Amino acid sequence: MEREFTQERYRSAMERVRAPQALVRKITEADARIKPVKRHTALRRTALAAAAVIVLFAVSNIVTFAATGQPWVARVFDWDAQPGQPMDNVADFFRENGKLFDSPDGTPRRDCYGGTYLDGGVQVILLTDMSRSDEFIKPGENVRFEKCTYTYYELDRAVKEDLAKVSRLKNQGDAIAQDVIGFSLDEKNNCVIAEIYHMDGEKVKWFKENISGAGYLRFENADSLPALD
Amino acid sequence: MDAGEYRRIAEAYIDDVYRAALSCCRSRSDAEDAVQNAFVKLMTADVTFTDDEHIRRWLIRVAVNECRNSLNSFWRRRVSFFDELEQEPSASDDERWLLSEIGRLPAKYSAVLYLHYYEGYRCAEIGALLHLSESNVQTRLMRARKMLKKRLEEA
Repeated sequence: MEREFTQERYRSAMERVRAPQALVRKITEADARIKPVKRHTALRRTALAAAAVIVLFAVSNIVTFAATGQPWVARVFDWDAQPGQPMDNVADFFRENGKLFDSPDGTPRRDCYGGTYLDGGVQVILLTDMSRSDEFIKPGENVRFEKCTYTYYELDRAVKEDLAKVSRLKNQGDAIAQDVIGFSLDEKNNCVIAEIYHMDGEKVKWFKENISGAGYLRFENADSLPALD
Repeated sequence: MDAGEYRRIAEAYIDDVYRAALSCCRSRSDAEDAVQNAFVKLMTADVTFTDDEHIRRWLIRVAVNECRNSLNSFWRRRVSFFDELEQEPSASDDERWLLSEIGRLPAKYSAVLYLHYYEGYRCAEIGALLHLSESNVQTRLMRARKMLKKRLEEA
């Protein structure tokens, strides 16, 4: 037998190679099982799913806002309730929960209220006289009273008066007065903080002699203070 | 593409696609996998075909690419193409003998041989399909012919 490689012989031999019947069946019957997904169809479905999620988010927040006065997303991410941080707006708290300065009979409370701060979600109210706590609001899960030495009124007035003294000395050209950066009322620690640039013993001594030597004062070196947010 | 159209195309071209895959893979199982994947892609791909020949060539190209991927796979089946082709029941003795000789060729030669002599692809087209240069395809074709000629003379 003559054996020569030609295209005709090659084609003839390869013609004998056919796909197995099982494979043919599997492929021809596959059309019922697999449906094509066009690219624009997939994009449309993705866009619809995203839109549905957005609508669900908006509607659920509107519903919870109508029911509770606060959207659920604000409750989940409770930005305001940072533990141990002084309350930003004390007036708002007392507007909802009680009165700050005036008792029902008109007696001012500036003689016993020492300030307030949040501690792990609990509103802490400082009082110089704990027996008068019922004049404010009743203690509960979210409210606690603490004894303090100085009233908020005293501390607030001290800040204003001391600030005025320092300003006057600065205007007179006093060198150490220039280094007094400012005052802040620390409700949590029931004190007034005086911030002094490059603080040392001599400057503190000067402050106590010329501005105030009151017990509610604490001194902090302005150099080492953390930057404000 | 509707179900009837798909079935017509599958029945018309499955043998061509299978032969192309078998020439590239040298393994019946890998070839079957490649053919199945090619037809699945035909159903799911967002491609506009101009005519039936376009579809046939597209299927062959996809199957060949599937084979190339399977050849790079660690898990590919290492079965001899030669043993499987020899058992082709419908072939005559002469055809079976030729098939066995083709089967003994390395896969890189049997693939270009099939695409050129059976499918009628030009060297440039085969090069694009297999990611080879045109001259490389010509070299492989020449070597495949020489190897077959030598074996035919020795037989």
